[in-house]
Amino acid sequence: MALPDYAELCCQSDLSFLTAASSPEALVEQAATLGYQALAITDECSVAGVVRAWQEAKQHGIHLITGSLFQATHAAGGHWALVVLATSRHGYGTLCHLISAARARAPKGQYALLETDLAQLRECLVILLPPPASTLSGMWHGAQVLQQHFTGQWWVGDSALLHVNEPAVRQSGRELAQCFNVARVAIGQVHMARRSDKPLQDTMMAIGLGKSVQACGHALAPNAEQHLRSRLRLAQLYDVASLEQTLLIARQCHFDLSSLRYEYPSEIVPAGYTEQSYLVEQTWQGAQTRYSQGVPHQVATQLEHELTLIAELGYAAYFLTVYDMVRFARGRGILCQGRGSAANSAVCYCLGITEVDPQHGNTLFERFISRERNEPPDIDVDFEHQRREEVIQYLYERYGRDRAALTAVQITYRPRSALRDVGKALGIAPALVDRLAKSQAWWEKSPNWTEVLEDADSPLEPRLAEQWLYLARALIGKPRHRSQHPGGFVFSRGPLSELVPIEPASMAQRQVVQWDKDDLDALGLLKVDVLALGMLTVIRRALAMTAWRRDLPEFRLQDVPRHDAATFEMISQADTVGVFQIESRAQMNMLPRLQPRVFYDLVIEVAIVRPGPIQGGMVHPYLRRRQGLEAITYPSQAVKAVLSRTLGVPIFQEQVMKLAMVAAGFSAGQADSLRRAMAAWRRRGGLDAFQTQLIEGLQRNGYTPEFAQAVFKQIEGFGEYGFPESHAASFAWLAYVSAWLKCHEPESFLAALLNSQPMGFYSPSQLIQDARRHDVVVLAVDVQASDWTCELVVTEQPRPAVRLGLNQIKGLSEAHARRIVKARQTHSYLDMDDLSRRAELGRATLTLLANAGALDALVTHRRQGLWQAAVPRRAHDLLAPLDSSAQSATDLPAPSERDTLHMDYQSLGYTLGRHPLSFMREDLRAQRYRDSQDLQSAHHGQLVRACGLVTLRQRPHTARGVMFITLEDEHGHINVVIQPHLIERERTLLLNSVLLGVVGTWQTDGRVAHLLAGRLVNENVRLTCLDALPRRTA
Amino acid sequence: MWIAIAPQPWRPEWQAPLVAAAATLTPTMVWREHVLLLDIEASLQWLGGIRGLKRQTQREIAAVVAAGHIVMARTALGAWLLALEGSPQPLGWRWRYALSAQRLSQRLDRVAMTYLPQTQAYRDWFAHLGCHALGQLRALDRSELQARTSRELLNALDQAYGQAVFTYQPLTLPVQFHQRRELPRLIQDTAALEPYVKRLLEALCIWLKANHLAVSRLECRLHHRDRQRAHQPTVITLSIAQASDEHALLWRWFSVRLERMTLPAQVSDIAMLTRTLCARQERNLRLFDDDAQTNSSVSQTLDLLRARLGQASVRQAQPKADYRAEVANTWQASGDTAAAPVSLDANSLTQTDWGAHCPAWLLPEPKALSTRQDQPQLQGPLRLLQGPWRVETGWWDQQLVARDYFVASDTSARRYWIYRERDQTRARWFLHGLFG
Repeated sequence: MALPDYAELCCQSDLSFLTAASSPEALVEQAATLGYQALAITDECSVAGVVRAWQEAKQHGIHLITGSLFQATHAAGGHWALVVLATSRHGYGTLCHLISAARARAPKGQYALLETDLAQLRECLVILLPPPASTLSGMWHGAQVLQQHFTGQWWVGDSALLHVNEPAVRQSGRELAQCFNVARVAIGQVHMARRSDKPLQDTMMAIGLGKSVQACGHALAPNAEQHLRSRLRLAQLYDVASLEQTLLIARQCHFDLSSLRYEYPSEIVPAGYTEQSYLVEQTWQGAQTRYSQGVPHQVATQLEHELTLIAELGYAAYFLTVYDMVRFARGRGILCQGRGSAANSAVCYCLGITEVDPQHGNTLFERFISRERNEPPDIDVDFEHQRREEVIQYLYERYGRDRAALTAVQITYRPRSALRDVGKALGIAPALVDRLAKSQAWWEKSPNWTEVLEDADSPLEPRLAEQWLYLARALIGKPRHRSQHPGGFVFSRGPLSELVPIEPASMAQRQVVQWDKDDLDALGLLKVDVLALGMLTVIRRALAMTAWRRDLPEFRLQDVPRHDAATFEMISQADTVGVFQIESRAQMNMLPRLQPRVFYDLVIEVAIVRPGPIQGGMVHPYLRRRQGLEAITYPSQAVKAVLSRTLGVPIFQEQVMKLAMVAAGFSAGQADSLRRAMAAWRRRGGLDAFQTQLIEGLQRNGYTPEFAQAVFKQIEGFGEYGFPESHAASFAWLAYVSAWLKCHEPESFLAALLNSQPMGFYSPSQLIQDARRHDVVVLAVDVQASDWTCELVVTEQPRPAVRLGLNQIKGLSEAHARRIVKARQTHSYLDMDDLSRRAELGRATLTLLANAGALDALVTHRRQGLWQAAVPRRAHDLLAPLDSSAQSATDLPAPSERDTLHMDYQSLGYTLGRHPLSFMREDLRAQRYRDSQDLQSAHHGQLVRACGLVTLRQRPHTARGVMFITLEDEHGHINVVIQPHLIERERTLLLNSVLLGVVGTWQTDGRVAHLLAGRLVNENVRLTCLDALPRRTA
Repeated sequence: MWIAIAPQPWRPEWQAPLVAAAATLTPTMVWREHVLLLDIEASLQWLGGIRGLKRQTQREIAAVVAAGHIVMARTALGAWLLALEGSPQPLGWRWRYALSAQRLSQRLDRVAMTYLPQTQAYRDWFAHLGCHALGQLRALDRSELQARTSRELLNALDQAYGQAVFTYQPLTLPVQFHQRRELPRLIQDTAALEPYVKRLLEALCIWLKANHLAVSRLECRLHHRDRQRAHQPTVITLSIAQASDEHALLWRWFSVRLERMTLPAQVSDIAMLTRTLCARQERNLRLFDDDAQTNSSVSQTLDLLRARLGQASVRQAQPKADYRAEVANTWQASGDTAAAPVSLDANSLTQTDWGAHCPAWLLPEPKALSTRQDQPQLQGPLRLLQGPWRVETGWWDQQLVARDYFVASDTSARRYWIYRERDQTRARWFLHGLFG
């Protein structure tokens, strides 16, 4: 007998969050393997999984049906569930609308379906689910509701899951179907792809219920039948008629996600224009402003070419949407800069979205839009981080809340959270779970076996430990809940909720769509990234202070001199603490070798220390060629045109793309699908198809197999972090501007950085130390002089000093600080009583000020200030005796230097006094630890000992397991390299030590020096008196 | 004069025995954060001065707890602070004294301020001021300190140093009935014991009525005297479902127990003591004694069964929400106070009706069935009537179950609950229960 055909019409994926165990891809793959005709992905009040399933289904040639499952509660007790399947585009729209409406009624992550909602559904098919999804009484009630709204369009589900009582339940379903004269359809109520997923499914259910699996009782399924079962098994369990009905329904569901046609918002174009004509006009107008001496011929040709392509593909509205947003920000004085794949175009430059001049660029327009592919281009815009909210509010106002929403991010399990949740679900003692989760180091990608099994203290039986780890591993990567993308916006012409369901986000007044970035990309929906960049805030503030210092009305970005030798000299010496992008440890190591001298060098510098070039092994060939140690050769003229900018070594993503085209024979469209595959291969794979094509093509054109392999490795590296030239150029410009500020206006730069915290690699403490090494005078926080922010103040010296602001004091409210500044305007404060009365400050605020040393001008020392801060005061007491601050009888001893240091670290996070290590230098010297200054005289290969505060730990995965640590002492920094075997041995020490001693070999080549660790010593005990030291982990 | 006893490490179960032991030293005591404070001013003379007191205390306390700190000091709070300050893990009991006012302030001045709870609110402030010990705190100007902190803080400080009166609510000791009577002669026969037990019970009931109490658990100890051998006293423990103060009722259960008892040796003394007491249920007197609310017949029957069969033989169902029948049907000895019947989530039961399909009578261990031509056999072939019901669960507690359950009947139409193991390709059948 031939196996019957079957379509599964109720199947939940893990995007129902902690209900079902399998990913949409796994479900589709399994259904295809079993030879199902169709599969419906029906997540609970959600269509979050359908896009991923749809992509997978395309590969397997299985018919994917879009639907959703809902639970409804019946007032008279009992609940019932139904599955809604979309038959057409219109049906899909009404389904999305229904989901949005149900979600909007409930808090985040929940929904409330009203029976009246169902009346809105059109062109949808409905299946009433039998137990266990519904109760029997609820089912009869549900049938009445469905009969009312969907006569002839609904079915009664029939499930054979081998539950107890099932014959009776199925009989009742039969009677119900007869009574309402509807057909029965076989339905699996699937929660997992395979039977073996049952333990994971139980665990996820238990996590969702917040109980242990033992305590869940009947809330878990009695057996593993809710998986995708073989057709043979189905034929044994169901009658032929109800199996045939599944196919009948599947055939009626024509809706395919590819029919979703996106329409751009229309209001960005003024009356009387079409989108294209408006874009053309604005572009040429912009070109006139950009090139006041006349548009160069090359640029004009490129503009023509780009505008034609945009017109052909209908992307004008996209460019105009971004243009509109950027224009708004410019009007408000908010700094912004575009980047992303499409930002490389001449059109974007002319519209003012980017600053990368196409005159110098060798742009590859096909990289972001091509005729062969129907996907929108991609532009991200960075805004000042503290003013991005204004732009977001503008967007909501402009498009309305029903047409703009944020992109979703599916938050997935990571090793630590997986260990925690599985531990809780298995009923393991909370203290043990906590201990092991904490011992999970941040650099480890999967749970640590040995730690759990070999821990002598853990009273865990090996079998339970094994289960714990097995399930934790299985849980890693599973979605946990939905969150919002930091700035990805989706707009539409009509109501957005007919395109994709919208749900409330946890932030008030925000809403998110149910799809994430990849889903939107796959469907070609417009997404604009409104991102926040702290450095833009810093630059705007520093420029304003520079204008003040130079007595200019305004100092703009364009006014920064472009080719400043002093700035490049400073960069070449790796003196770049606080400078955008090139401040990281790896970048600082590269700078003295690369010796940037012109702006384009900086573009390369920004791009070269990235996973792509590093994995491709392109860094050293480039350096050798640059230092003249290797001849610069090209296999052909075509290749020379692509690679001449970078001395024949491919560094940027576009270069690799173009290389694929000119040297390996890819078409423009193929090159772009390669880029798309690149971006996604980490998650989904799919690069192999290109590998042979690329490597063979390169070899045909005279490249060695090694080089071809290296290029492919580089492509894989770009998958980690794609870095096109346009990105690099945008970033390099900001890096240059910030470096120029650091070089010529270090005071403004420091003040702006401190006011924009938290941001960047370095803590305020490190920034201040660095600035003081550059002779910047930093003045302490003082109620008599400080503003809320850090400001420049004039001194007798030619350079101004930086006066720290009241914003540096942890816990001080801005309102109080503003009162202090305002009340001071008439005349400065006489004493603490005067301060507290005029600025209306209470004990808590005065104590904060006294701790930070801000009252030192009013009292003899901090302790006296603290004592006086605690005098009870009545607010607004005009008649309070004026002599209440008369000499107090208590005479406290002045705090020691150590005490002051302690207070500084507690209230500011840094000190302007001596560095903490200088207090223990004698002891350290006795232990033969050398300081960073002394180490400069050490020679290569010498065995040395060093000790310092750990300020940075990094373990980039491109470094083959090596960890980089930066130690700080009173004179500067020491770079430590730790090899994998040492990390393995000293895990706990590395996780916990704040003050670290290192014994190792000093390695230097004259420009760059580091300490290769051989042995580590935890020196935390020396810090007992300094317990408030900051600890930063990157 | 005060004694502070701080057992270390602290365990809650030590609280009651410690109080009982301390009760032999003084009736006035108070708990303060895991430290027992005893006012021994009045008993100092009676127990033989400081030395006698120390001996007595050491003896009583060491029998209960092995290690900790004991401080004898002039003030209660002073003793308390010094006891708290002691090292975390002493070996045995460590004694410290601060008997004179001068010695006390010397010792207290060095105590870290954080031990005084009233300073908690100002902890950071004091730390930044450089004040760490109580001595430094006292050195500050008193009126200025009071203005900046609280009156409670200064009051606590004064109490510790003996400059203010320590006010407290003394511990009320638990009530208990305990009487021991010497018999006029040695008795070997239980029947001869009866009048004496009866008399003791009468005394108990009078005491109960006077105190408005009822007893639910009591103990009668029969002390033996034998020339040849030392005997442990025989203990008769009586626990009854409904707390009572009625002589007739208590006597009835005792007589049942005594009847069935043989004495190992001659009895010289008998003692009666109460274990669990509760307040008496006051009821209005009625004309007709038809008090159904006490549900007396059921509880009396259970008491009778327990008295006849032994405590462990009367068991109570402890149903558990689980698909595995052997886990769902758990039984527990009844009468334990912890064994309050667990009510299952009513919804989950009605929804699946799982329990209704499992027979009430389960075999303690499933019994393997023989097969003939893959048909299960139990004195003849079994016919499958209903099923399968598939159970695949329990992977978490090492009782993984993968079975298909069936209702089967044999030739004489008896119904059985059988299952097929799903772990092997060859069918293995088991009998798990019988339907009534």
